[in-house]
This record gives sequence, C-alpha cells and structure tokens, in this order.
Amino acid sequence: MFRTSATDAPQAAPAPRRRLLDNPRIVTLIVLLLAAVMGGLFWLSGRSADIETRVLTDVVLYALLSLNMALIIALVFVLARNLVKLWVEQRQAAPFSRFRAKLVGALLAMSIVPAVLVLFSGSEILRNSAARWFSEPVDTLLKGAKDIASQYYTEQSAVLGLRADRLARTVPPAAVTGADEAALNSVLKDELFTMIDGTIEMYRAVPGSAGATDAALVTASESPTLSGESVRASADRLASRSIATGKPETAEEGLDNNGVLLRAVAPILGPDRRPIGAVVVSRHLGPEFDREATRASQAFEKYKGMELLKEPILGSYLSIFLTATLLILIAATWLGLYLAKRITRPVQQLAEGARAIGAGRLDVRLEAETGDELGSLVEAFNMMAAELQTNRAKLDQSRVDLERKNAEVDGRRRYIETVLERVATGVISLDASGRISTMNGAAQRLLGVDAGSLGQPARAVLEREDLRPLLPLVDAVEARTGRAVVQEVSLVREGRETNLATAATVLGGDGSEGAVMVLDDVTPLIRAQRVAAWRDVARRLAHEIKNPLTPIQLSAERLRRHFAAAPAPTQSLVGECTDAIIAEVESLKGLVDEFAQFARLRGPRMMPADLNALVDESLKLYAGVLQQGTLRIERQLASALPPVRLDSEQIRQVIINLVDNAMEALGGPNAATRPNGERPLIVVLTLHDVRNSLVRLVISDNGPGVPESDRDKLFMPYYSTKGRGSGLGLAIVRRIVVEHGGGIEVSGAQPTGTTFTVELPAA
Amino acid sequence: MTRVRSGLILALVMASAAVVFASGNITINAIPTEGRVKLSFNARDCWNLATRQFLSAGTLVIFDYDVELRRPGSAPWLGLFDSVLARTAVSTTAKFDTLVRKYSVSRMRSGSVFASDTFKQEAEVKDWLTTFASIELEPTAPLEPNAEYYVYVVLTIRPKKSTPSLFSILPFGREECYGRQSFTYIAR
Repeated sequence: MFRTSATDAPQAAPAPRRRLLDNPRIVTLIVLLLAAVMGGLFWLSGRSADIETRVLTDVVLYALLSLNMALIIALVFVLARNLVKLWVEQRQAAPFSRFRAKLVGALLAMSIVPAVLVLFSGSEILRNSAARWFSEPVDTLLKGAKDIASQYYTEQSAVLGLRADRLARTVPPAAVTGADEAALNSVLKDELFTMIDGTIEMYRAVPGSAGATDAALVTASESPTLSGESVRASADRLASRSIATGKPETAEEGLDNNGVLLRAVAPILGPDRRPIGAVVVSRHLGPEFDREATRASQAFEKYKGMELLKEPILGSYLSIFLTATLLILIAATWLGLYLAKRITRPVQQLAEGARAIGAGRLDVRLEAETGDELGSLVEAFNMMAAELQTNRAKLDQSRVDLERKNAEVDGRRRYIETVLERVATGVISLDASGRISTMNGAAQRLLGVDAGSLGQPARAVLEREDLRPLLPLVDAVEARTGRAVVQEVSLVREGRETNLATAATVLGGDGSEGAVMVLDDVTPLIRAQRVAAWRDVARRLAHEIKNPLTPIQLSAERLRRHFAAAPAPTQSLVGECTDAIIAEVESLKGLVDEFAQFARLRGPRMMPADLNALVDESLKLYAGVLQQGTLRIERQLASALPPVRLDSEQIRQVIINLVDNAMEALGGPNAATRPNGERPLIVVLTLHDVRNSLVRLVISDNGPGVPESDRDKLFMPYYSTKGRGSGLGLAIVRRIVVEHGGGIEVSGAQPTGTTFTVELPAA
Repeated sequence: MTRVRSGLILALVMASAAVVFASGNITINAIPTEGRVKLSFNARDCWNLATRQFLSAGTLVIFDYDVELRRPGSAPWLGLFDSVLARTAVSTTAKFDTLVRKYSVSRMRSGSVFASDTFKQEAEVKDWLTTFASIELEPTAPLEPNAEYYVYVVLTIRPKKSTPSLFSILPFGREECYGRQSFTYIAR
C-alpha cells in the first residue's frame, strides 16, 4: 500500500507484497492467453464444419463442457471472492468501501448484463438457425437420391438372382456333372446377349477335403470391362457356399476405383434335388455410377447422422458460444474489478496515508502507480508528508534545544536554590501581590516559620509578634519606591535576641515582578563586636584600675602602720578600714587580672593531640576532690577518636572551666541528691562526627540547668549566674574554642541540667 | 427426533443405492471356475430408439463395454472403494449400408477386431451389439474361497443423440447402462 522513507529505517514497515496482477508482464501474458483462447474458439467455430461429427460431439463437446465448467468455477470464484471482500470491507467500514462497492457493481453490471443478453439472444438465434439446417425438401431430396441408388442396387441384385435361378434351371444337369463345357457355353452365349457388362461362371460340385463339397469352375464368360480372373476368388466362395447350402444368394463386391460388382448365385439341382453345381451371375457397375450412388448414400447418411446429432452439434456450437461468453465475462469482470481497484486504491492509499500522518507517522510515503491525476495527487501527498516531516524534525530539534535550555535553566535554578538553601543568608521572594513565592531554609530558620508560609501574604506572616520589626520592610516593598531598603532589625523570640541585617529590593523597578527580602543573621558579628568592645574595656580597666591599686594598697598599709601606735579604738578603726581597703584592692587586682587575661589571651599553639587522653588527664585533677563526695564524673569516650589539632593547655582550661561550672551548678563535690532522686552526675563524652569531620566534646550535668533565655548570654563577658566572679570564664572558653576553629553551644539536658557541646575540627 | 429421521433417510438412500447397483439393465451371467471368471451378458434393454435411428441413418454405432471383476470394499453400497481385480474392455460396432441395405458388424477387444459379419436383419444386429459370450476375466490376485465378488459391466453407446449435461463430464455421470452380478467363489 504505502512505504516509509528509507531514512527512517527503524520505523519502516515491511514492504507490502506486490500483487500478481500489478505486474505488467503477468497482465500481458493473461491478456495474450485470453486472446489465444478466443482465437482458438474462432478457429474452431470456423473449422467446425470440417470436423467429423463424431469428433465434434464426443471430443470437442466434452472438452468444451469441461472448459466451460472450469470457466464457470473461475467466474464464480472471482465474483464470490471480490464480493465477499467488498462485503467484509463494508462491514469493517473500510474507507471508500461504499464507493468501491458502487463502482464494482456498476462495472460488473456494465459487463455482465450485456454479455448475458448476448448469450441468451445468440443462443436463441443459434437454435432457430439449427432448426433450418434440416429442412423437409433437403431431406426428401437426399432420401430420394439414396433410395434411387439403393433401389437400383436392389433391383439389379434381384434381376441377377432371377437370371441365376433361371440359368440354374435351364442348364442340363448332365452338362454340369459331365463338365460339358461346350453345352454350357452355348447356354451362356445366349444369356450373355441379354446382359450389359456382366459375367457368368458355372461350377460343378466336386468332393472337397474332409467330406465337404467344393465348387469347381466349369466355364466362365469374360466382361469387357472387368477381368474375370481378378474377381474369381469371390465367385468361387459364393459358388461353394451355394452348393453347400443349396440356397441362392446375392453379394456385392467393391472394386478398387472400378465400381462395384453385383453377384447372384443359384444352385444347380440334380435329379435328386441335391446341388450338383452353381451358377454365378455378376453385373459390373462402373465407377461413375458407383461413385454417384455412394455420394448420394453418403450425403444421405451424413445428413441423417447430423440430423440425429443435431442436439449435440448445436450443443457444441452453443458451448463454443458459451465459452467465448464466459471468457468475455471473466475478462470483463476481472477488468472491472481491476479498474475499480486501480481507481479506488490510490484514493484509499491517500486516506490511509492521511490517517497514518494523523497518527504521527510522518515517514509514510505513497507509491504512485500511475502518472495521471491520481499519480499527481499522490506526489502532492508525498511532498506534503515530506514537508511535514521536515517541519516536525525542525520542531523536534527546537524542542530538544528548548528542553536542553530548560534543563540548563532548571539546573541553574536548582543550583541557585541549593546555594540559597545552603547560604546562611535568608532570602524571601515576594510576588507582585506581596505573597511569599519562595523562602529558603535560612529565612525559615531565622524567622521561625515553615514552608506553609509560602503563598501567604508577607504582611500576614510578619504580623506575628516576634516578627513585627520586619513589617517596615513590607511597607517599603508595598510602597514600590524602587529603592532598596536596608535596616538592622533585632528579633526577640523565646528570650533570645537575633540581630538581622535586612534589605528589601523591589524587582522590575515598579514592583511588577515582586520583591526580594534578604535577611542576614549578624548576631555573631554583634557578639564579636561586643566581645571586642569588652576586650577593649577589659584592657582599659586593667590599665586604668590596676595602676592606682598598688598605691592604694601601699597607702592603706602605710596608714595601718602609721596608726599602729594609735589608741586602740583608732587602731582598730584604721585596722578595719585598711584591711577592707587592702581586701578590696586584692579583689580588684584579681578582677583586673582576669580582665587582663581575657584581653591578652594568646593565640593557640595547635598540635595534633588525643582529645580522649587530654580529657582523662584533666579529669584526674578531680579525683581527689570527688573521692569523698557524692558527685560523680562519668566519662564516655569514643574509641578510635581521630587526633585533633589543639592547644592542650587551652583545651584543658576549657574542660576544667566547663567541669567547674557543672560542679558549681550541682552544688560542689558533696552535692545533694537531685530533687528527682538522681545522684549528682557530670557526664563527659567524646564523639566523632565522621560525616562533618568533627570531634565533639560534650559535658553534661543533671543540675538545675540554665533558663533558655539566659543561654545566649552565658558566653558574654561579665555575665554570671553565680552572682560572683568576673563572668569571663565562659567568654574565655568560647574564645578558645572559636580560635581553635570550632564552636560551642549550650542546651538543656534531660530531664534537667545543662549540656555544653564543643565541636573541634578533626585533624 | 431429528437424529432418527436423519438415520431413516440415510438408510433409505443406502437401500435404494444398493437396489440400483444390484439390478441394472445389463444381464450378466458370471461363472467362476479355476480361479477365473467366465461371463456372458446381454444389454438388450439398452437397445433404444436412438440406436435404431443412428443405424438406419447409416451412422456407425459403437457399444463400448467396460467389464470389471470387483470385490466389495468398506462401503459396498457406494462401490467407490471396491477393489478391482480384473478389467477388460470390449466393443461392438454396426453400420448400416444404406445403399445395399446390409449391416456390417464387428467385435473388438482392446481396440483390435476379432470378429466381423454382415447382416440383413436388424434383430441380428441387435443381438450382435448387445450380446457377448465367453468373456474371461483373469484376476490379478487369486480368488479367495467363500468370498463375495461381483462383475460390473458398464455400457457406453456412441453416438448420443442428446446433448450431454455439464455433469456428464464427471466420472459418475456417464453410466447409462450397467449391470452387476454378485457371486460367492467356491473353490473346487
């Protein structure tokens, strides 16, 4: 039906089987064969008169009947096959099936109806003509001629018989038995005068072999036209038979190209009425008469034979006619079906091709079977399909490019999303209506909202109590001034203060594309600034306070010494005052030293070290203290802990500071049992975070814990929950850890207590 | 009910077929002897007006006889599956010389003339054409004692006056005259 383009081999359908009748050679051969059969039929009908009747009725007729039977079967097969196919196509609602059925019906009607009409009318004409073949005059004429000839033969035979019988009676028996040839010749001489071209032979009976009687020629006359010797043998046989049977007989003997010899034999009876001889009288009918008589007889026989065989002969002619009609019918039917197919198939192919193209098979190409208008239509279809295929290819290429670009954009977007998700800066995008389009994890974490905020108006989200300081940003965005708004905001949530550096930028100039809000957590920066400020303060304090302390102390001691000799009350007063001054000065000195240490903390000298060993070493310092006490320190050290680059001195200070804080929180070595019945306990454990390449040191106690609101302040200088001391311990701890590249966090322990987690990078 | 009716119809068809094959219009007299079968037959009932008309018109009339010795097979009423043990073909011809009013007759076997004569009477010609005697069939396999056999003779008369139908070209459509003679071979 149709083929696919060679360039799309994988989609190519198997090549359809080429129909036999699409081959011009086969069609030509069939046409030639039909023409040959038709020619043969015309030859046969032309030569039918020359064919012997017997052959015509026995051989030709049966051959034609067989041929007709085969042709009828072929015709029925061709018709039935195609009609069934048409019916099936109509049942299946195949395209153009109705049109094809109508076309086939019209073509078949155009071929079958005239052929059948010609067959019936021709048959009738043939039958009527056959009725005139055998007319009464011809029959009478031929029968008369034959009867005349036959009658002549009969009469001549009868005359010869009478003559032979008369001679047999006339001849003296003694002349016969005595073989008196002279006496017999005298009888013959008179008789021959009354005969025309005849012969007479006289025989006498002689004893034969085995007791039989034989005939011996006594005398014979000669015919002027016939040699007696040439026909003697038959005369001898007749004479012998007549002598043997004693009965007269007639016979006819055909002579080669010399007419016919009529014979009559009569026995010569002796006195005892027994055959003693025989007379054979013959009459020679010349070849002319014999020929004419034979022709008359044969003409009659042929005529009568044909009359009797009229029906088979007519059947033969009708069969020839029927054969020709059937051949024409088959040829016309086939031609009709073929033409219908040739007309409808291209249209059907176009329909199927259009359906295939509609289904997306743009590689379909139709095969133009003709060069006519239908062929041009097929070519146009193929051009259209090729154009569609080219356009589809371009579209496909564009789609591929677009997909690739989309993938790139998508990848870039995912990359940006990933970056945004990973960055510590919170990024919130708003659409033109002020609803939150995207919000990265940092923003969610900083604002304490979840992904459920997406799609909600930013104002509604930021209306929350702790987020209200951010509302000016929303106001700025909604104002659409086109300028970036930058401000620092401090959010307090659950007692913890978070300092944010915020910026809001309207996209698209007029805000038609929304806006972006950026939130930077500057809390650590603020803390660092504060620490730096505290360090500066500490240094100034150490410098400004420490310098006057010594003169004050010296002055106080000098006053005490000066009033050593003073009256006791004075001495007591001075002693109390100077002691107080000296004690406070000492206290101030200690305070100043701590400040100085905080301010002048040296940088760590890091070397790879075993943290577990350092923990063990540090905790040994408490062994004596805890030996008698109720408090216990439990260590849970990770095995195979990697070495950590650290300053052992400083980290030891960290461990001791944190353990000291824990002991103090629990109430010292002899701490009381916890309200929940637990024994006072400090747990020191080390962990290895392989994934983040970190080593963790966790020091946890089951003491009363630190309120969550105060946890951030714990690491601020001069902040203490103990009500004494400088409040620099945890600030120093934090500074040491930070300078080691790590971090420290404080959290609540379960059910009560505080947990400090120090993270140090593994070496 | 339908099954009974179908069986009845089938039985009637078979019975009628058996009757037809058992009778025929050729009378056969078959005598098995010494492993051979000698037979004579006459087909006088096949002598008809058309034959007489052809004869009187001087047309050569041929009576072809196909003689077969058969043994009934699995479907004896059909005769299609019977085995043929011996076969011969004989013919008789007659032609009336309208000039001298005599009949020339001959007998042929396997295409060869083995007897000829002339007659003046039609009755003699009728006997000559329709009667055969002393035909011997020699079976290809020995006859089995007490086995059933039959001789089947088919006569085809040529020429025919009527137009043959399309069915006459089929093998079973050409039998006009036939005869069947069954016998049981009893070895002596």
